[in-house]
Amino acid sequence: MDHKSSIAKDPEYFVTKPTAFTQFMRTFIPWQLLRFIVFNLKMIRMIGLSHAKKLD
Amino acid sequence: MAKVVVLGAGVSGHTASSFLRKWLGKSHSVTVVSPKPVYNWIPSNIWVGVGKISPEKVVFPLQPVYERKNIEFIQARAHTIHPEGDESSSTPFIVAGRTDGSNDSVRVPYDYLVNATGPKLDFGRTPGLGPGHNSVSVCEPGHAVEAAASLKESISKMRAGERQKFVVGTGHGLCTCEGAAWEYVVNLEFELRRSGVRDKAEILFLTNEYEVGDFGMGGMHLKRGGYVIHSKTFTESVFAERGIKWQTRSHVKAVEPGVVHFEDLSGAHGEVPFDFAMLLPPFKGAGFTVFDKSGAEITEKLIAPNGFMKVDANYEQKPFEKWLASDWPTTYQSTAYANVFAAGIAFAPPHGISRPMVSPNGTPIAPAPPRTGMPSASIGKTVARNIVGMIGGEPGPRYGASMSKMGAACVASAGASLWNGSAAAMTVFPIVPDFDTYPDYGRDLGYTFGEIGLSGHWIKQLLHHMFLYKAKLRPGWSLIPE
Repeated sequence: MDHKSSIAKDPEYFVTKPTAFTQFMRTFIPWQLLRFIVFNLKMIRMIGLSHAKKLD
Repeated sequence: MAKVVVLGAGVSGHTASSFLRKWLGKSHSVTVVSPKPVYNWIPSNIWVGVGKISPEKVVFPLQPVYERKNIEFIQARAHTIHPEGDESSSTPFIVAGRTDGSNDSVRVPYDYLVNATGPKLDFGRTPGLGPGHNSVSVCEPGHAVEAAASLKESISKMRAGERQKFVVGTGHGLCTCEGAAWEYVVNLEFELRRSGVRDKAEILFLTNEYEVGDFGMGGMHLKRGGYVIHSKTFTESVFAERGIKWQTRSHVKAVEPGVVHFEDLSGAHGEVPFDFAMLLPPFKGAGFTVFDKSGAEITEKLIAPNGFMKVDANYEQKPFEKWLASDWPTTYQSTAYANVFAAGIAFAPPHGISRPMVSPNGTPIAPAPPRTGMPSASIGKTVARNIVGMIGGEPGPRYGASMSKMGAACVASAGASLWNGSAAAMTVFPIVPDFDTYPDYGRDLGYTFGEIGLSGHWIKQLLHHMFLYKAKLRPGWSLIPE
C-alpha cells in the first residue's frame, strides 16, 4: 500500500522514458554519424525557407 | 555619404554592422557603439558555467576586427536618442557615455540608426537574485565564471560526503530563455555524474513555464514514433531519465541565502532550499530617453514601457485568442522615424507567444517570447539589407523577416563530451505559430523536429567554432548562414 502511494506521488513514474536500445543508439557512432548528416541537411532546408523575403 | 550607427555588438548588432560594411560602398560609414570591448558567443556560456571551457573561448576583442574591416568602434553605452537633432543642428544623433575608463560623453550623429542593444539583465526585479546577491547566472562570461567556481565548491563538498541541493531555472515569472536554463541544468547534471558525485545531489528545475518544454514559444509539436507529441513529453523524459525534478508555473519572488521564495499559478506561496542556485533574470530593454528637436522628452513615441523599441508590429492590446502571426513585425522599422530600426532582442514584441497566465493574486506567470540566436542574426541582416537599399534610393524597406515566417534551429547541449556527450537538436518553423496557415499545430511539422544524441553535441561544437569564425569576419564569413 505504501509502495503504491509513493508511486502515485512521483511524477517521473508517468513520464515517457527511453529504452536501453534508444539510449544505446544515442551514442552509437555509426548511427550518430548518419543523424549528424540528416540533421544538417534538414537544418539547411529550413534555413533556406527562412531567408529574408522580398515584400510585395 | 551616409552614416549608419549600430548600437550594440551582440549577435544582431554585429551581424547588421558586418553586412552593412560589406554591402555599402566606401563613401558610407558604419559606426558601432557598444559598452563592451568584446564579442561574446553567448550560447557557449553554458559550458563556461559548468567549468568545461574557459571564458576566453567564448569572447574576442572587437576593436581589431572592426579596424580590419573599416568599421568605426566606440566603446560607450548609448543613453539618449535625438531623432530630430537639436536646436543647433537637424542631424539626428545619439549621446553615449564612454565605458573605456573615461567618463566622457560622446555625441554620435547618424543618418540611419540600428538599435541592437539586446536585453538589460533585470536582476533587480527579484530581490536577492543574481551575482553579487544570492544566486548565480550564466548570461555573461563573468557570471558564468562565478557559476563554475560555485559549482566547483559544491562538488568539493559532495566529495567530502556532504549532500547538496541545486536549483536551476528562471528567477522571475516573466523570464525568457528557458532553453538556456534547460541546457544548464542538464549540463550540470552531466558534470556531477562525471565528477562521481551525482548520488549526493538533488537537482530541481524551477520554471515559469506552464509545462516544461514551452521555452517561451508555447512549445512545439514533433512527429515521433507514429505520434505527434508536444515538447513537454520530450523535456520531461530528459529530466526523468537524469533524475532531475521539475516544478513549473512558478514565479520566484525573492532569493535569500539558501532559500528561493516562490508563488505558483494557484496563488500558493512556498520555499525551496538550495546550496547552489542558477536562476536567469527577466529582461528589459536598454531604456533610452528620447528627445525632440526642442529638447522635449518624447520617449513614449519610440520606446515601449518595457524599454524595448516600438517597430512595425501590431501593438493593439488584445486577448490571447485574438493574437495573430501577422501582429509580429516584418521590417523592424520604427513607425515614428523611418531611419530608425530595432534588431534582435531590442524590438518590442507585440505580445507573448506562450499563453499569458495570472495567479489569483494577480501575479503574471508566463514566459516572455525568445528572440535570441538565429532570429536575432536574421533580423540584423535583413535590417542591414533594407538600410543599404534605402541609401541606394529605395523609398523604404524592401525585405521582411517576420518571426512568423522564419524558422529557427536550436541545439541545446545536454553534456559536453566528444564521445559520450549529447545535445537536443531542434528546428522549428515558423517560430511564432501561424494557425491560419497551419491550423492544427501552428507550425509545419515537416520542418519542426527534434532529437537527442551525440550527433547533437557534434553540431553544437561545429556551430560554436563556425559562428566564432564568422563573427571574427574571417575569409568567407558571409557564406556561413545565420
